[in-house]
Amino acid sequence: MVPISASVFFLRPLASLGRWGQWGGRQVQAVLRLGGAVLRNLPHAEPAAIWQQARDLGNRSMFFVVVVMAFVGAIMVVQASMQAQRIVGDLSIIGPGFMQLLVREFAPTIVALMIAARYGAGVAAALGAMQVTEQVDALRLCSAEPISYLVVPRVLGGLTSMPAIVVVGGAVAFVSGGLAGHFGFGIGWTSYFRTGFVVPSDVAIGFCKAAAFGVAVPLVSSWAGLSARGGARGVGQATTRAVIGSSVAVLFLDLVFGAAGYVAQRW
Amino acid sequence: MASANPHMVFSDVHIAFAGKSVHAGVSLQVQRGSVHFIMGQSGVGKSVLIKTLVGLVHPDRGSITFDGTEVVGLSEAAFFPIRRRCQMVFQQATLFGSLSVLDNVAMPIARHEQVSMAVARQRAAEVLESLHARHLGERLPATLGPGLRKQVAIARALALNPEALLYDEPTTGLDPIAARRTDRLIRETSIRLGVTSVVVSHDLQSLLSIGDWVSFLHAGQLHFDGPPAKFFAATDPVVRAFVQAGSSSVGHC
Amino acid sequence: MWSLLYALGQTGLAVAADAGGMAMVLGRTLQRLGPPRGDSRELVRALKRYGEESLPIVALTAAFTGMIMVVQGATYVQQYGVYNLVGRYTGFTTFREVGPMLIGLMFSGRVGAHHTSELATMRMTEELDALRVLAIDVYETLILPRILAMVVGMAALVVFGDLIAIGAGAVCARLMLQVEYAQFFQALLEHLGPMDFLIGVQKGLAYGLVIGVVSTHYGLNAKGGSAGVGRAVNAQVVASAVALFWVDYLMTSVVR
Repeated sequence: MVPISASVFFLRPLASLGRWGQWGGRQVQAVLRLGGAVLRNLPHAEPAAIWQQARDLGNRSMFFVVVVMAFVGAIMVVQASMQAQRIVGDLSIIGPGFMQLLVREFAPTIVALMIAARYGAGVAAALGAMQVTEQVDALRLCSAEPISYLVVPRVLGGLTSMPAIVVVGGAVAFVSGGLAGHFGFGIGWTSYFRTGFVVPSDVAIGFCKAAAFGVAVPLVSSWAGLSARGGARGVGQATTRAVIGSSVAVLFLDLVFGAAGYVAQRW
Repeated sequence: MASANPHMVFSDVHIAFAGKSVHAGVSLQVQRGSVHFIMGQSGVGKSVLIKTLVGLVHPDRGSITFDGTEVVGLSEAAFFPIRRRCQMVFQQATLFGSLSVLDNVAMPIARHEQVSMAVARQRAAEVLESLHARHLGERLPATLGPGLRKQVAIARALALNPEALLYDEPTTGLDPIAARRTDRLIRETSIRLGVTSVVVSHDLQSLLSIGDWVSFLHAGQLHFDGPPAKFFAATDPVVRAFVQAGSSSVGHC
Repeated sequence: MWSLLYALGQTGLAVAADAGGMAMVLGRTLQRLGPPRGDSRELVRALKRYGEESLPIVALTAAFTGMIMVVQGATYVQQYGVYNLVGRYTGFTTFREVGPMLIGLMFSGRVGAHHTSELATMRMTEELDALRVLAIDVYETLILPRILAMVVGMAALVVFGDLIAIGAGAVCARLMLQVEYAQFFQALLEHLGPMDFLIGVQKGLAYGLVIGVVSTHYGLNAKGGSAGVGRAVNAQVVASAVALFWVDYLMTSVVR
């Protein structure tokens, strides 16, 4: 009896963990292969198409990002102020501290997660629909390389507009946090609106993150769309895979850059 | 055919979608136990008209009665008793893809008659048997051709012992053999169970072989209402054009 | 200028229409709660499926969350030498805010999106109408059980995710900051009460309801063929994110 219960309670979860690992590894490999193809096709990029995608990502997500980041700013300042009241009783570092965290961490990460939902899902739906209706193959027949035509502009567009929308989102969060802190906890304007904690390395980390997310979200979403199979159901699955995949990519890169930044600051 | 006790009565029904009028004052009666065809060109709103009976479409104006009960303005919940008595067979059959054929038929029985799934399956098998489809029981809808799917859809609609059945384009998209078999099933069901059958169609062959009565709609108006024999000899120019365009295919079948 | 005003008005109208639709879904669902008229077999089936669908992704997200929290604080910890606080702030932020929120976002991307696309497909193929004609209430058979499953499932996933996040955070703290496991967990247990944990679970319940209502609304109102399914899923993910942050804001600042 022992081997059976052991297989149920121990081996089976282990086996499925192994399967997930294998499956995840294959997905990562496929995304990286697409990334390599994008690099090879970089010289053929068309500025107009890049600009179009940059606008698609940035302008059309603006309303959404602004709304979400306004909530984020208020939530964070309220939480931090409650904590600070309990522990140190000093609310004067909330503003500059929040600014530093926003620049280094929250503005790039949360904005990128939102872009994954808003833009990534749209990319996967559009490319997935093209894939299942054989339009991608049709492109290939017109000897237009689908990757340079479909994926490269999206990746470069993301790279250009993600940092911009991160700046906008961060600014909105900072201001809304200031309002919440002032009216909820009586934090003075001048003590909140300070940027003294932010050092150049924070800005560098924040920018690197934003740029990396700007590449990762369109890349993963394009991969999800181009690997769609089987009609309307396949397009739906591709959309889901784009959101989940690019969110995981964002969190993973966030971890990597955060750790790298910490190590770099120590040396 | 103004009888004392019609099963369904449409009077002065107006329906418009997004400002575009589909029906502008349609009135007609359906007699108990008859096979009543509603014909017309595609897009004339035949399906829309019968969907009002089961509350899938709500008319803007007019009155519709089912067995003397007014159904216009009923709430979704109030339609449930009506729907159990008046079932509909959808154009695409619309079987539930994750359920076997048997369970497609058994599901409404289990849900409405408070019986166990085993008893419901037993009853469902009997219904399928009566439609010569017992052998399909364990298969999934996706593995069936359109003719067989329609057969199962009729079985599912009969599962609740309705007194009336609405057929939305039952022969459209079927090959001639499957279409004629579906016609026979409609007729058999009508005779065996005495259900009133309303058939939305533009298949003249169906009308000729199984229809008791036909109402012809064109541009939101009723252009003909009478027995099939008179329909094929009608003088109304719209009806004549429709009959003539379809008669060549009737001759071949 | 006028076109901007026009666009704002259009957006406002669309938001209002969606909010109204969601309120209707919520009302109709609650209406069927007492006396319970849901399909309990569907509830069990949905719970199982949602668990299977989202466990791996939630585990991964939670592990990242715990580690990111430690990494973010690492600079400050070193600067001020407060190694005894690592467990405390990691637990606090993960339990109360970041854990439920990130798990909620993933849950909406996985389970909510699936629910939306399923309902949208059923609407396109007239299966919803077929159920109605069979006098079967879509809310009782499909929507109420699944929304309940999302509420219960989200709460359970928050508990599960919290454990994973804390575990990953402890490992990360050990590797990066040489904080011993005992010290990490001691700081966590000493300074955090059950309330910190329960607030997160409570948020999980609320987020589950939000995702259930939003995904149902976009599924039931999808239009326009297979492209419409994709659009509905996209709109669902976006609206869920806004709704989650909004509810989070309400729960942190208004109902303290």
